[in-house]
Amino acid sequence: MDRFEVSRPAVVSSVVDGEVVAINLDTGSYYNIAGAGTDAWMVVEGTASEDEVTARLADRYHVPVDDIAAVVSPFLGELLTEGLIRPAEGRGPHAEPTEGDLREDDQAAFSPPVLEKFTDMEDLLLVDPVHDVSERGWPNVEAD
Amino acid sequence: MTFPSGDGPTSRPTEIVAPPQRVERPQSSLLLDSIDGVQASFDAATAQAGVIQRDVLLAGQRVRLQFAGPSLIPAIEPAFDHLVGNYDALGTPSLTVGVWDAASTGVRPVPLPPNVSHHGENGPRYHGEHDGVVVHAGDATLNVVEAARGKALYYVPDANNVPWYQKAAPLKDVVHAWAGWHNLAFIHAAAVGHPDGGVLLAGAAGSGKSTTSLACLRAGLGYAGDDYVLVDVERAYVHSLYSSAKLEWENLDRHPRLFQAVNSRADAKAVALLSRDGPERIVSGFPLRAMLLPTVTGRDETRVVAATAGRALLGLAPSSVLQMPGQSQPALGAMTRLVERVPAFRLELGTNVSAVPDVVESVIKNLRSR
Repeated sequence: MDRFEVSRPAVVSSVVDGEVVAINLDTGSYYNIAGAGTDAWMVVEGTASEDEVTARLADRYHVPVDDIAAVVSPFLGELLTEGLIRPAEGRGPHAEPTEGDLREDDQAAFSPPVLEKFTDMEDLLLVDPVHDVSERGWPNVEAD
Repeated sequence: MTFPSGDGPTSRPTEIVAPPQRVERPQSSLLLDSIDGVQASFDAATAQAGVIQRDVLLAGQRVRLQFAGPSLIPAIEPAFDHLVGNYDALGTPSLTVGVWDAASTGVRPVPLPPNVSHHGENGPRYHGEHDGVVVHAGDATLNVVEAARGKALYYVPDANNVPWYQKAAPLKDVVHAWAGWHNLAFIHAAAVGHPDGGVLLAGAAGSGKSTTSLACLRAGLGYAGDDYVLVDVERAYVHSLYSSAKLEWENLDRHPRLFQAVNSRADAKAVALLSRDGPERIVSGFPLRAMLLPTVTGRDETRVVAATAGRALLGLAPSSVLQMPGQSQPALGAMTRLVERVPAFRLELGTNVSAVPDVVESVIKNLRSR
C-alpha cells in the first residue's frame, strides 16, 4: 500500500481553527481544507497510507470504515492531483506523525472533507516576478 | 565581511532597541564561500565610486545602507525617506546593507554556483539558504543576507533601469530575510490607523484593499504602509516599512490632489511617495487592533462581519508567502500566531466608498476600548 506525505518544501501549511491553510509555492495556488479533511491532512503530515488515514478517521468519528473510505479515497486523490501530497519516499510503514495528531475533540461530528482551491494570486506574481534567472547559476555569464 | 565606513546621516528621533546578539558564521559551504566573492565585488565597487551612508529605523532597529557611489540612492532611499535619521544612539546597526550597480561602478558580482537553483512551474529562480544565510537572485537583482552577522549585499546591473516595483519596495528580499531572523513577519497588506491603534487590510487583487486604503487616507486616517509592513507578532505591533503607494493609474487620476506619480506612465502601476505628498499622514507604527479582509459586495451599506482565524490566514498569508522567497513555512507559522492573537473581520464594502473610513474607524475605536 502506497504511503503519502506532504509535498514539502514546495507545499507549506498551517492548521488554525480546525482548518488547514496550504500553499503550493510552485503553482501559486492555495487551499483551505476543512471537515474531516483536516484530520486526514494531519495524519498524512506524518506519512500514512490511504488505509491508515481511513482507519484513523473511522476510529475518531465512530463511523464505519467503508463509509469513511468512500470519502477519503477521492479526497486523497484530489490532494495528489493538486500536488499537495505525493507518494512517500524512504519512510517506513510505521512512521509517526511529525506535526500533531488528530484533533482532540471526542464529541466531534463527522463532516466530509472539503478542499477549497484559490488561484487569484497569479496576477500578483506576474507583477512582482521572481523567476527569470537561468538554471545555470546567477548571473548567466555564458550568455553575456 | 568588512564594510567601509562613511559619514552619518542627519539627526532624527530614535527608539532605543538593544542590538541583536551576533554569532559566528556557520561552517563553510559552496554557498557561503561564494558570498565572500560577492563581498569582494562590493568592496571593488566602493573603491571605484566611494561610499555614501544612510541609516534607517526598521522596526525600531538601526539599519545602515552603504551605497557604492550616488547612482542607486534615487532608486532606494525615497521609499525609506520617513525612516531615515541619525540613530547613533542605537549603537552597532542591526544590519548593514552594501548596495551597488555595475553600470556606474564597472564592477559586476562574481557568478554564483548553479546548484542552488529551484525550478517551479513558474520557471527557474536562484535561491539558497544555509544556516541563516540567504542568497536570492531574481529579476536581475542579487540579494545576499547574513542576518546572524548583520550583513547584506544588494546588486542591480544598472541603477538607471531599476523596475518601478523595486523602487516602490526597495531591498524587499533583503528586509524579508533580515526580518525573519528578528522574529518580525514581513506581511503583504495595507496598514491604516493611528499611533494608538490600527488595522491591516489584506486581500488579493480586486478585493477592494486599495480602494479601502485610499478612502481611509482621504478621510484622514494615518498610513503605515500600502503594500508591505513589518509586524512584531508577539506584540501585535505594526511597523511602517515603505512610504510608497502603488496605485492603478485610474485611481491616481481620480485623486490628483492626493498623490503625484514618481514614475512613468509606461509602467503597469503608478508609484507615489507619501513622504513627499503627505508626510503628516505617515504613522511609523501602531498596535494592531484587527485584520480586515475587504470584499466587494455591490450592496449600499458597508459593514464588518466577524471572520474566523482560518479565513484571516487565507486572506493574509498566501500573497505574503508567495511573493517572498524562502523561509515560507516559518513565515506562515508567524502569520498563524498573528491571526490567533488578533481578531479578524470581513469588510463588506458598500457602493458608497466615502462611508468606508467611518466603518474602519469604528472597528479601531471599539477594539481600542476593549
